Amino acid sequence: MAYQRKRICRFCEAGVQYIDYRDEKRVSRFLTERGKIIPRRVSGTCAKHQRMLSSAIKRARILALLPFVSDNPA
Amino acid sequence: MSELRNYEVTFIAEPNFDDERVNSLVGKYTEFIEKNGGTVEKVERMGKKRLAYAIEKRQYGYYIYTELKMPGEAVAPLKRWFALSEDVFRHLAVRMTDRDVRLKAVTTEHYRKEMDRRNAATRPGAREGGGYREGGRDFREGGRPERRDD
Repeated sequence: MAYQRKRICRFCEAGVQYIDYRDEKRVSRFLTERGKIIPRRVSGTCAKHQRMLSSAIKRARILALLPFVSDNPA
Repeated sequence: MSELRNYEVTFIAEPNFDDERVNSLVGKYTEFIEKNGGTVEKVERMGKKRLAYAIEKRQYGYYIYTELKMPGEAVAPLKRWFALSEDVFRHLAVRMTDRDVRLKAVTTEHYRKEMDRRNAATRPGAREGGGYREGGRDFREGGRPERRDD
């Protein structure tokens, strides 16, 4: 299969304007199994949504909704 | 008192709390906010949840989410109150600008409509995945994401 062109931002596509830090299920797909935030160049998220996303993830981590690091790939 | 601002405050209480102790905690919390010139507008008990990592050996916590209006000066006393509290072992206070509040409302509404649309489309009971987005590959399937932009 040929390489894929840069895709559009999932959040833009879905019409999302605010990313809630309590919504860990929606946000956790943007983490690797180690718990790192997936970079824009991989996920294709636009700059605006990536900023919102990273704040949301960091807040969720404080509340122990998401891990800072994870040894067991979930 | 100065201008009231919107805040979202979530705190995590001991997991073994029963309704009565939660009620009493929420009562004390509300009282504290009101004493400092604020009003609690919404309290949502998210209930007992598993923590993503252990906090002082605890694996679970009782989550309480609140929306409130209070003057900025009340934040520091509130944080001190949490720090001194024996019931609450973690808290997060987030200032919400008017814009944040608006965008959050719009997005929540959007998700709700999306769900309705989906529920109407698929027959009830034929629930698939449960995500808010279908079609399109989840880049987490099949292991590590590959770089796609070279």
